[in-house]
Amino acid sequence: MRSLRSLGRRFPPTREGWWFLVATVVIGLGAVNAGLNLLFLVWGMMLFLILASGVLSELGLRGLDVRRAPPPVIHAGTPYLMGIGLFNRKRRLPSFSIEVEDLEKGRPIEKRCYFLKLPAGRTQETAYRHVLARRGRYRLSGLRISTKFPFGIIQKSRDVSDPVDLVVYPALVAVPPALLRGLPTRPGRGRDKWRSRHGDFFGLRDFRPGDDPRDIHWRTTARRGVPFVRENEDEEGMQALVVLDNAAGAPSEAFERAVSEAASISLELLHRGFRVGLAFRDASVPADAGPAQATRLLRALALVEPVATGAGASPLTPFESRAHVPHLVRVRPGAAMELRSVPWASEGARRQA
Amino acid sequence: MRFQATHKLITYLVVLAAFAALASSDVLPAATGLAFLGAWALSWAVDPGTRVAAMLDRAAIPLRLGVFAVFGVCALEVWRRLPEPDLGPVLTLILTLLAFKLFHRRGNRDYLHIYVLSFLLVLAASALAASFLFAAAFALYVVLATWTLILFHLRREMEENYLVKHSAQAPSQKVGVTRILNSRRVVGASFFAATGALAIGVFAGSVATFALIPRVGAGFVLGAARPTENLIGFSDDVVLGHYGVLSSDNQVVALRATVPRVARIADDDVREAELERLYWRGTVYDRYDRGHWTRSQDPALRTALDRAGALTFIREPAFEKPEHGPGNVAAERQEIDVVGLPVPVVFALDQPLAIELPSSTGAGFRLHPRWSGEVALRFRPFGPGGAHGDREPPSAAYTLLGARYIAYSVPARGPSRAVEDLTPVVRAAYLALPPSLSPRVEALARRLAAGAPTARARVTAIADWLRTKHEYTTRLPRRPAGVDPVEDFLFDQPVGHCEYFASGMVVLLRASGIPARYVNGYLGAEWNDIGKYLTIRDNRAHSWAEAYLGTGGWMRVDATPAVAGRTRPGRLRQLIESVDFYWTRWVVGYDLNRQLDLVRRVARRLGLGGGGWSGAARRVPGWALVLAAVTALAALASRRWSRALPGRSLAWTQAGGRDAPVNRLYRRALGRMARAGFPRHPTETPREYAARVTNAGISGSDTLERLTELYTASRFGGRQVEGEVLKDVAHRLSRLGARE
Repeated sequence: MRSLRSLGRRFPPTREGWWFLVATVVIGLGAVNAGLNLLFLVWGMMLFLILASGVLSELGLRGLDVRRAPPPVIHAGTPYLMGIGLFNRKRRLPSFSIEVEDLEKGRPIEKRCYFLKLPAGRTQETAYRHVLARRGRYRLSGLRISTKFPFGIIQKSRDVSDPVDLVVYPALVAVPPALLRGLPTRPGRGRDKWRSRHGDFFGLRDFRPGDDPRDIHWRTTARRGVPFVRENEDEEGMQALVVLDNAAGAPSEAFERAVSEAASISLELLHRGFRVGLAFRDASVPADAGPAQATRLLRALALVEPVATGAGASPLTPFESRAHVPHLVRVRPGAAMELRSVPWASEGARRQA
Repeated sequence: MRFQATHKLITYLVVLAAFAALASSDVLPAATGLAFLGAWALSWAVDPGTRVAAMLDRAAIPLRLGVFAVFGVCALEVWRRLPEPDLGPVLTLILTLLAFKLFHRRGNRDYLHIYVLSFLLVLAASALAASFLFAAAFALYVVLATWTLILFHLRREMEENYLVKHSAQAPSQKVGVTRILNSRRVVGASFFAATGALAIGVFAGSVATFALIPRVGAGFVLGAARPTENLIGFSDDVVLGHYGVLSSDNQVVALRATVPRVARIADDDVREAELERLYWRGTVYDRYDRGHWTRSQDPALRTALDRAGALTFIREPAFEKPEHGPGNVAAERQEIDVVGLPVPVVFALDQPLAIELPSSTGAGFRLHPRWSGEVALRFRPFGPGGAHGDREPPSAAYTLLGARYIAYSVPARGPSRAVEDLTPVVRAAYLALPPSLSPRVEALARRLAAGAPTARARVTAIADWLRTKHEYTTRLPRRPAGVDPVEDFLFDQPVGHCEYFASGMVVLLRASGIPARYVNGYLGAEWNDIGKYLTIRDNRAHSWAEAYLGTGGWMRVDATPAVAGRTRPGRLRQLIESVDFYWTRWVVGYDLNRQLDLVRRVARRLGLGGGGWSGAARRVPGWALVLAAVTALAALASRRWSRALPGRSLAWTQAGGRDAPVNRLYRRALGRMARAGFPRHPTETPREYAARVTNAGISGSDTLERLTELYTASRFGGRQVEGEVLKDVAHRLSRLGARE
């Protein structure tokens, strides 16, 4: 049944409330029809309990301000806590038994925060635990403040407009260890350096058999009398590109699995100190490292959608064929992830492993 | 006080209040009531987690079986009383369940059951309550129920919602239930004061609902089940020897009546003497056989009811013409309130001529003819075609309370009703004697009537003989088996009470050739000096005879010797009974006429009533009252909502949210000016408006300017305006609005 609405208030009866209303009607009819006078007293009591319920619930709902504190990161399928703060602006009257619900497209989600007693002039904060099953963008249109106080027969509520967008990142899955075998496992070691001519100067060390003579640091060698070689940070070797094939046509579940795998491998690589980039058919994220890059990657993966492979859609080939990318992770819906490393990067990685 | 303890205490009190409401109806047997109170008290200690509670939990199955057994017994009792079910076993069952639940207060559901069962008790009490004590118990119940519903709601909500601790890493879990339930900070004195005030408002609202909802029928309650022995004297089969003994000490009030003639008597002794001469005629019997008085239900004896406007004239068509009634004789008016009638029969001062029911439409009471001038009082508690239909109430089970009617009777010292000769059939019915009577009865009758020239003289002779030769007693001797009890009374054991004297009188009259019948009713009444009314109790039940004296009509013959006078009730008892009288008349018997009467009284108090009001009020139909009530409520709601509109409420209130007196005064001034044809435009500021008024040369504009300054200073500057200043401005405001 539709809720009655008036001046922004809803007051649908609760289950017990329906029983109460039916009993009120029946007793009223009985009193009028039978002429049992004392029954009118009981009937009057019930009518005025309903009225009192309306008045008290209205007093409870008035003068309340509510605010929301979303968590910084939400992954699909993973519980998160949404903070809710409630402030009672009234001077004297406390509010009892207040519930606050988030609204999505004007409809409450199934989680709520409960405030037993909010004294006048005070703020209380709590949180609700919730899980969003799918990644993507969610728009919370506002908050619903409701109460069943004082008798639990009517749930009066009012909606507060407070729109906010939540971007739910893909669910994370376990990355197969075999896939990353040979790559640095921890951020500290991820910055281990080996011979390279491309990165920044890292340090000097003794010459070992097999070192390229071109790396000999002649000035130090002359000063010390033994050969020294210079080492540079191997920036090229610590860069990875995750390529997600978002061509339309794959089953939805497989696609979502692929997105989750892409997100998981991206975070794992970032965690290991790699500069990670991301490429789809219709978009890409340049490689970078650090927490900000994680947010960029996850946001892109949260919003990626399958694209038609016809005209207008970019092929993945340019990304996949980039020779300068040391590590390329190919993620295809319905297929296992593949890691392709260029030989010199693999060699360095193997040595560091 | 701790929340949990408070909730428990209030729950127990609400149960007690509900029980008190039921107890005010006198329906409950004392043993049942005491047993419940014992269970109520014992269950207090059985909290969840205690040893006793654990023991009860282990014995849950036998206990439930016991409750089912009680249910079975009660159901059997109800079934045995069908088609006139007795509420007693049902109430016993409710009390049993309630006691069971009080011992099993484990969760919220149990508490909810307790509240529902308590409410059922109140509901039953509202249908059965006979005493004004119900009002006190009900008021208490309303306050406690309001509290307990709030506490129950809070408890349930906190158990289901509040005590859940959330964690992103682990599932949510309940914590701290005990801590919160034992908190002293959830509800306190201010909470109970505020919600108590609300509860009083609810009670006032229920009283207003009671007073204002238009009635479509007569008001009444079913009343308590009466002890069966009290009904014998008025039942369809009166067995000699039962009634007088059993009811002699019965103080149950049957009727209350206001008789203007009696009320006008100033002297107490004269009034007392007059009271003892009041015969309240009720049931009439024409057939006698072996100690049993019954009605032959001969159609020739059927009472006729002739309706003329609000009056219903009582007539015995066999020998009375339709024109008899208050129009022809100076009838004695009585307003009678039924408090606890043992049978659904109209009782009125002998001889009743006509009856007027205050409300004769819809559900309520109706008159129905019986025999020999007797009239039944029927009721339709659930409307036409309802559960009881249009039939007499279950006389053996419940009484009617709150019924009210006005009776008109032949004046005590006025001429009796003239009648025609009896038809042979009717004469034969009133002369019939059972063949079991021995010839010595007729011989006695002949002997007593010998020498009496007229029927009246014969009646007097027989009555004198009975009074002088027989002794009144309520300690009846054992009558021998096989002998007619009246014959035994006349010849062998000349002691008995009024039933024997009346029966002996009727038998002897018939044996001497005078048509006669046997009447049961009440003799005398008790004067209440506070309420100025008469109380007729069951212990005033009496029997007498009626003898037919030809065209002189029927003559009441009371052959019972006078018994010692009864003691008058004390002042305190009179006070209590007068409260009960007003309770019965104004609450239990509240009907449309009473409502109109109330409206008239209020109107007179308010100075609205002229001579025409009374007549106008009588013409107000019920639907108009409903319409007026709905309109008033709608106006109230509209006003409230309009105040609640954002923007508007802020414009007229202080920052604190209260409507300041200066604001109200300013609004009054604006209203006054608007009525004078000088309204303030929506775009005008108060000062611009005051300047325009001044320029227009309107008298009192200086007052408006002063008020405007006060208003703006209060509303926008937050300054308080002194009462004296405001009073002065208000006084001068009366001159505002006239053009100079």
